[in-house]
Amino acid sequence: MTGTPAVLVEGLHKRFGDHVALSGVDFEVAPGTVLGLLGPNGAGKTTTVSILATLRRPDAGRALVAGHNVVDDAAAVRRSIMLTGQYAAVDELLTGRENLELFARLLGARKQEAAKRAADLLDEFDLADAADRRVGTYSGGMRRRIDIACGLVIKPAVVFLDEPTTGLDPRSRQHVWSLIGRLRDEGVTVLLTTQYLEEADVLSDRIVVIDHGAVVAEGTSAQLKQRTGGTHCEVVPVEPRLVPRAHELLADLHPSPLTPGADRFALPAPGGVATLGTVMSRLDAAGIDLADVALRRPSLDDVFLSLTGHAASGAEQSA
Amino acid sequence: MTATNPGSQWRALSGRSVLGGIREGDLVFATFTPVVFFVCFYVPLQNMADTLGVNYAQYLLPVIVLQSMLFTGIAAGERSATDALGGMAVRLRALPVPRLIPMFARMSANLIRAVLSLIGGIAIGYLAGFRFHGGLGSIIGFVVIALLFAVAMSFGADALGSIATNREATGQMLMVPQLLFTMVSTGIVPAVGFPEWLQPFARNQPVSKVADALRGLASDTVDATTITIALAWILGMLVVFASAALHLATKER
Repeated sequence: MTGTPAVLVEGLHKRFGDHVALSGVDFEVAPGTVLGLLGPNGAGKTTTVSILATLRRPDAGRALVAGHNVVDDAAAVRRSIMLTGQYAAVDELLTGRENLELFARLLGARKQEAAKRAADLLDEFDLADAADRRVGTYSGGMRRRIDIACGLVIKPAVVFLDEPTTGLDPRSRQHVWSLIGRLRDEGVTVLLTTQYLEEADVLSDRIVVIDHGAVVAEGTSAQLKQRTGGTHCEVVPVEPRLVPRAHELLADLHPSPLTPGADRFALPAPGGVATLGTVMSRLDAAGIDLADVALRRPSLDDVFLSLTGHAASGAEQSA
Repeated sequence: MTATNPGSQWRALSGRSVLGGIREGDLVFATFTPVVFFVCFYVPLQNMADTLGVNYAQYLLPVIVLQSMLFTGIAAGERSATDALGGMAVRLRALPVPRLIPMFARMSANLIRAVLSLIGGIAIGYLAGFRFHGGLGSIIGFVVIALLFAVAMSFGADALGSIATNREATGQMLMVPQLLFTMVSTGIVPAVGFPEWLQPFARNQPVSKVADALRGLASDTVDATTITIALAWILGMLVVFASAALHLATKER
């Protein structure tokens, strides 16, 4: 890591009454990178972001954003950040353009500059057609876009996106993802919270996994996946009755035990493509047609399960 | 980066609230509510007042004005609850905007609403025979007392709205005191019209006391005690409600 981190978090503690929301969170985010803060509902993601965005004071610990202390120099932090919450915090009675102009003026732009910036952002966010409609009439995806756009009227150093795609349809989610990519390309540091493993995987340079108010793992997506074991090869014969026969033929490659009735099995693939080749040629020689055969790397779902002892989606449902 | 300026932030946010009030129809509602309520009381009750030799428009208008100021308070509560629940309040706290600016911007929109209600009320009153019999001083006194009452109510409702969990419930909850203080006041019928046990409340509650002062100012019959009592109520409520609103707006969370 070169220079000072864009976000530095050290020993952050926060409790609400009896509930301990954060019990010592540490991480840092390098300038111009995307950090995914991954965890189930109630893990402490939003509390962490609230402290970093100066909305709440930590009980203990220290946090710097763009070099400014979030407690002692909150005003300077607020000048350097943009925050998007889980819901679209814009004025529903104003049009998209009026919202953008409002936020531009709040951040010190003059009327003309504000109008110019609003027009540019409406184009950039593909909202020009809806510019003069009230935000109350927007779809969920459009709202999220105008919400994010309102935070970019003046280019921030650090952007906090708290579950930016929660509740969005796949197309809108894709749109937000490409926005985040664009922010990174422009050199903006992004801290993204999500409970979607896929999202953290696709968007983040580094991932911090938190659970019950503490960091349980951090690293790149590849590093985290490594921790749950290597690549394996999944074998799916066309005819399920041939599964035991295929399993037998590949016994020397240490396949995982067969689950009765399963249409597939997996085996470790330390050799990667070479293992795949062996599997295919042997089964071909035995006349077993394959519906699918592929190298699988463990998903972040697997990582999450092994780190926290519970599945990410299961935690969401039980919360 | 351009320097931020609290004055232009306040103007931008006030403009936003006023625009919202126009779009929601609230400002039209504010102007016509006192007209509707005035007519509703005036039509059935004026004959009775006539037989008693009272100019009922002169008698009734003060409480109609105060009721519309209570409605301004209710709108203030809903305005503040909308910001609190919609995430706007949170977002503004994460911006380089001084903590009190959003609240003061809402208050200026509330004050504009109060002025419109006052205009609507006085206009219908004039049509029905209400008149200012005193000089400019008493007209100014009437306007200032009515608006200070609205500001006090709006501070209280803004504080309540900022910790609300439901916008509609905030409005409905505030309807109850509005009805109670308007109906059980000496502004519509004199205290003798109430059962004996209710008369002390009807006579001494703040809406009655402030209505007495407004009526006295309009008719140019006011005495210092009436004005003092009305101002004491208003300033007392102003201090309590404004400090609650300021406290909640600047509270660390």
